[in-house]
Amino acid sequence: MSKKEYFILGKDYPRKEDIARVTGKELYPSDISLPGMLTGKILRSPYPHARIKRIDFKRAEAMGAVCISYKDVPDTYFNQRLVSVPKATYKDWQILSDKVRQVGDPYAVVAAETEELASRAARAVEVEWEVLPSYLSPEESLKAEGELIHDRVYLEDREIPIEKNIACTREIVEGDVEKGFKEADVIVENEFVTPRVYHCQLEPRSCVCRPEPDGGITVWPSTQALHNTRILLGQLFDIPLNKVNVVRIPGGGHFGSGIHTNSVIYLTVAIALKAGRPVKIAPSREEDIYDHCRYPTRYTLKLGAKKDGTLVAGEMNALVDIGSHHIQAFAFLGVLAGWWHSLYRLPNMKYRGTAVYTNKAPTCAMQGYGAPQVTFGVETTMSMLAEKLEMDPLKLRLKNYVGLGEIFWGQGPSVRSTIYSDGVEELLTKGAELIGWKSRPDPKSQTGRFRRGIGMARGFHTSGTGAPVPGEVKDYSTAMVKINEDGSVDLLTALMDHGGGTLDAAAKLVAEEIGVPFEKVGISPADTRSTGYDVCTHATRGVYCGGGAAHEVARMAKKILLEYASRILNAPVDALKTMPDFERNEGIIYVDGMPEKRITIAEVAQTAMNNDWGTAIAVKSIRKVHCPPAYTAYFVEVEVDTETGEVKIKKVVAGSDAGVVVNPKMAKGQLHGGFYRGAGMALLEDTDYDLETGKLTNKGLIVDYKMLGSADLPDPEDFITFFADTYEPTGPLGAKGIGEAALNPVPAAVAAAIQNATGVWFTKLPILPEDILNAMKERENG
Amino acid sequence: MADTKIIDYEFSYNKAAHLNDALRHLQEKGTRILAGGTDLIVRIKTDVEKPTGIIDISDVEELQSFVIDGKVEIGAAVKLSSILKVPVIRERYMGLYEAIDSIGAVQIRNLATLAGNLCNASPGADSAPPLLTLEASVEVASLEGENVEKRVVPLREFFTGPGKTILKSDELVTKIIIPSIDSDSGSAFKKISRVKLDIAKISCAVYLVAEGQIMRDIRIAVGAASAKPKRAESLERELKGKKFEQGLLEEKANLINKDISPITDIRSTEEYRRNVAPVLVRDTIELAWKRAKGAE
Amino acid sequence: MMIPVELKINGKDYSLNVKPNELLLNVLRERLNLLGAKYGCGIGECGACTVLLNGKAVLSCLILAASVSGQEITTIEGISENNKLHPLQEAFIEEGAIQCGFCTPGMVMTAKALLDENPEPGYDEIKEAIRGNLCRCTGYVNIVKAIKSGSKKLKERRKE
Ligand SMILES: Cc1cc2nc3c(=O)[nH]c(=O)nc-3n(C[C@H](O)[C@H](O)[C@H](O)COP(=O)(O)OP(=O)(O)OC[C@H]3O[C@@H](n4cnc5c(N)ncnc54)[C@H](O)[C@@H]3O)c2cc1C
Ligand code: FES
Ligand code: FES
Repeated sequence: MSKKEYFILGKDYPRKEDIARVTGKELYPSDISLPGMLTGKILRSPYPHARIKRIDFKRAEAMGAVCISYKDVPDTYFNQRLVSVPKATYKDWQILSDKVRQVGDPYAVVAAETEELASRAARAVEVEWEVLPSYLSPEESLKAEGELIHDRVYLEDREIPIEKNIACTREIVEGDVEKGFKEADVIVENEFVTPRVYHCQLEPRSCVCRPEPDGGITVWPSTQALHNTRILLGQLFDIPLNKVNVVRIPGGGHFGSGIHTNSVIYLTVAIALKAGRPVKIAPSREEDIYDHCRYPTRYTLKLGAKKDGTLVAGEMNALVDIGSHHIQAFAFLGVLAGWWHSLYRLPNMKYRGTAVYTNKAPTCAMQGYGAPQVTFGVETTMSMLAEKLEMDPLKLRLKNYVGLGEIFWGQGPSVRSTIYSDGVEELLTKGAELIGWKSRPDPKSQTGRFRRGIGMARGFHTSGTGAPVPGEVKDYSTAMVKINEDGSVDLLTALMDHGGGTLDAAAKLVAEEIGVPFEKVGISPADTRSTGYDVCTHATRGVYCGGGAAHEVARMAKKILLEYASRILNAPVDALKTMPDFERNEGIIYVDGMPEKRITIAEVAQTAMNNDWGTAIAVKSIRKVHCPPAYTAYFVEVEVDTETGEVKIKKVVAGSDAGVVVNPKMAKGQLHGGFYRGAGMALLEDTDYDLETGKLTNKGLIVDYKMLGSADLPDPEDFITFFADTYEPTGPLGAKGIGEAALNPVPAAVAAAIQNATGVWFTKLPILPEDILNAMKERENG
Repeated sequence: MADTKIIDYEFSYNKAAHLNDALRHLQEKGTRILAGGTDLIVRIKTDVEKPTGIIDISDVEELQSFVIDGKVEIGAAVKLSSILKVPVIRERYMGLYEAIDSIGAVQIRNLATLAGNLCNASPGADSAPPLLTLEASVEVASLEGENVEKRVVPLREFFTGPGKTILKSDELVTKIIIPSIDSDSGSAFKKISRVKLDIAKISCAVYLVAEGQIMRDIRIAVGAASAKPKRAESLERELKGKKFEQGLLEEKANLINKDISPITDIRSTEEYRRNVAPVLVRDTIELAWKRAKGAE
Repeated sequence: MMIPVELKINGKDYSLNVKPNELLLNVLRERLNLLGAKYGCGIGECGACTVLLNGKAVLSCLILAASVSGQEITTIEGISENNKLHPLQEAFIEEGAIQCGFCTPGMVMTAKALLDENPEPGYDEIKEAIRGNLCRCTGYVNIVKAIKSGSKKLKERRKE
């Protein structure tokens, strides 16, 4: 298969949602308002670990509020995240519980006519607490003497024993590490620490629910997973799924915080059912910041290589502080190993991961799902190895990376597949050229106050989680494509678009396949009643899997269309081709080699209707049996003020291997955004807890959750992006993913640039000016 | 948990047309002044304060004045962004200009006032260090019976601790008065912060007068490094009247640590503040010097 | 306590009674159905609630509705004339400056106030002007570009 000229792919069009978004007309969950709607407020724990001894709603109810606590809701155990199969899904959540496990943990909900009244009613609820000893670090948790954070956790229907607050563990071994390290000429070992980053999607996660007269519910949630949300709500409230309608509505950013069904969603449903009226809950920023964050990691990583640079063995030991609940820490421990093992060939490896509960905000996926964490350590170690081996870091990487024709398992040991497209060499070569890699300074000979440094790192993400043999992760998408009677096309799918242009990409694939101009493809509003199952728009699977399904179904609809056309044109189906006629804004079907023998798609569709042949329509669920690596490489130039420790980002070169690039401008936007969030993780973002009170030291206010701003980043001209020239044979028209890959190597690349300027390898993120100054002082003092 | 979406309790609200009016309302217990509200509303939303009444002074005529005739007088209702637009400020009071320009973002500066920044009395209030080096004072008014009483308080006596000033609950700052400056002077302000939009980890303002190669006068003030913004008097004494030289700065800048008493908070550590204070002071002095010499 | 408030919003006059504790953002969104301004933090840190007050960018989450009586407010809903997009809006679309779009209304309003005052800003001026607008998606690159290109478009449109 080779790359061909496309009519639509690779060209930029205004996105279909853009006009609504730029005029303020787009509605997000927090904008929805329904007749008779109440506003809900979630009551949140002031203590990190406590039990409700008494809760009294009398005063709140007297104010006209509807109230619920754990006594008013089903006591089912569940997991908010339904992406994994049941046998790999740990269940430790309840809708509401008599026990709170972190500051900010929901323990009751009130709803009233106005937000103000709801807020006052919430203040009027009386609670008596039994405060329990709390565990605010994994070390404390592991020494637990008092009551554990969770007394009951289920796997399927089996209650599993919990010891010392350990949520789960995983061990993975391949080959023989001891033997491997014996063969190594150089070994590098370090401990790496990565921060508890907050997603800070701009819209706090919100929800509106309307109970329907037939006992069903309609829900407008912030989510990345329409169908999983529906399934969970159906289970929790015992409503048949045909009466649970979850509506697709754009969210003000997700970054992974909506893969699981956040508590705000089922709490909105619970209170709406109690009230018998529509309810909106749009939490404040402070509430949201206690609701989710990135998995922090602490791990030792040891890599051994031969003199010629060939890696022979690796060992990794990871400790993950997951906070108050499982949002799939088990899967997370699996991917930590996967990202590591699939970056570079390691014939011998040993991995152990431990996830520990603490009384802090629950951790969940955030762009990269463990890959930025692991890539930071692996890439740093590779650069250190290169230093020791006196080898060019790029050469060492090219020698060892997992690429074309090899088997990899980024998404964990059960998701193994073969690599069919690989632009790594191009990314490294071209990136090096664009940043001026050869002329980068020698850290040993740098002097002066302001020092320039150039660093690089590479990484990847899987495009989805598909594999030949289904493993722990569900992965399929459903799409429907129909060709309308005027030649326009409707695409119906439960795919979500988080802002990266996923839905437009799917529509482009459909337009390209059917042979109509892009404007001719409409994206239908979607909800769970009208669409087939789609696991979730996560894992960089939007274009490859979701778009892949749309493309495949478009092919099926086109086949029907061509069959109708062949009756009209009197030519065999195999001889028919389609193409968009941009001037006349329609699609054309013609006989190959006889371009004058042609008919418009509209004419075919109309003839088919008038002759009662039917509509060219198709619907199907499609599972991808691969999840090709979307590779990226970042080259970063910084300037470090060695007297204040401040780091300025001067220049960024970002290269991506996304296969055929469907939306170039949007794809570049992914690189810009990925870099910005990755650099934030490298340089400042973290959430700390006060060990006395269990509260966030930022008090939930983003005034003290700083993120890089426009004025902290380089000019547009100093941010260079490029794409590798590859074609993914298993992808829709050659495409694979980009999303998370756009962040994965960034923290490592920034750290490498700082090393190049200062001579110090930092192994703990974020790298604050305070840390840099200390390290510089230490170096000076020998 | 704070709720920054709404204010869920009621207070009385009045908008004063005249100073008298404002002062009268201020006599009611629990009433707070609202100028730009960028501190006050945040404090209410985050449960730090719960006033029972608000007196809005943004429309008070007497507080809109902006006088420049040798000395500079800035009324308490003048917006920060308006101050930045005055050419004299931009050209002659660069330290003050830079400090105000570093406050929040344009949306904040379009609401916020200089008096509000001072009355909020944050140790990191950015306008305080330059105003201290300019030896500014504030005019304070209160009501004595029917009469408005006014007194002028030097800024260096104004702050008494974090969030605390000498103001009594019925007093109002009417204007900030900056005495005239030397024609051979230069000033500068610098701050170190986590990101551009941020309260300082530490800040520094310098005003100096150049006479040939001599620093005839030098005033240095540091923010976010003590319980209140303050002048660095020991360092000033060491530098005043000396020849401007890199070597001297390098040698003496460390003395700044005698003048400050930084703490560890969420923005930074005591150690870091102490480490960078001399660097920041040096940088700011150099910049002010260049300006005094007309080299910038 | 109810306070009568007269407002001119997007050229239209409104009179309503508000309580002293009502914030402008909530009045716009809940009473007047102008949903373009968003809540992102409520404490002045994100700029999602930016509107223009007498032509100047301000944060509606920090303003008591009662305090702006008699003044003129412009929201994102009021900047496209006769359904023709403002040049900045066009530029945001063309440059790919919109991802989730939640920051877009506030961002466009801040940018508009900038261009009204400084028709040809450089990159540094643009980056400084929007430093109070948080965009968690785009990394700002395309937004900065869009404001630059919007300024050129605006200049051309003014010539017409
Ligand atoms: C997002 C954000 C960023 C910020 N960044 C910075 C920054 O970088 N640097 C910085 O220094 N500050 C910063 N601030 C704080 C704030 O904006 C400034 O302190 C501002 O100058 C306060 O002015 P105001 O008019 O809004 O004060 P208000 O909020 O109206 O008042 C502040 C306090 O002073 C009292 N007060 C006001 N005027 C008078 C008067 N005339 N007489 C007596 N008392 C009075 C009020 O009662 C209140 O207690 C920031 C705030 C926000 C929300
Ligand atoms: S909501 Fe107003 S600044 Fe964030
Ligand atoms: S586009 Fe999502 S926050 Fe800016």
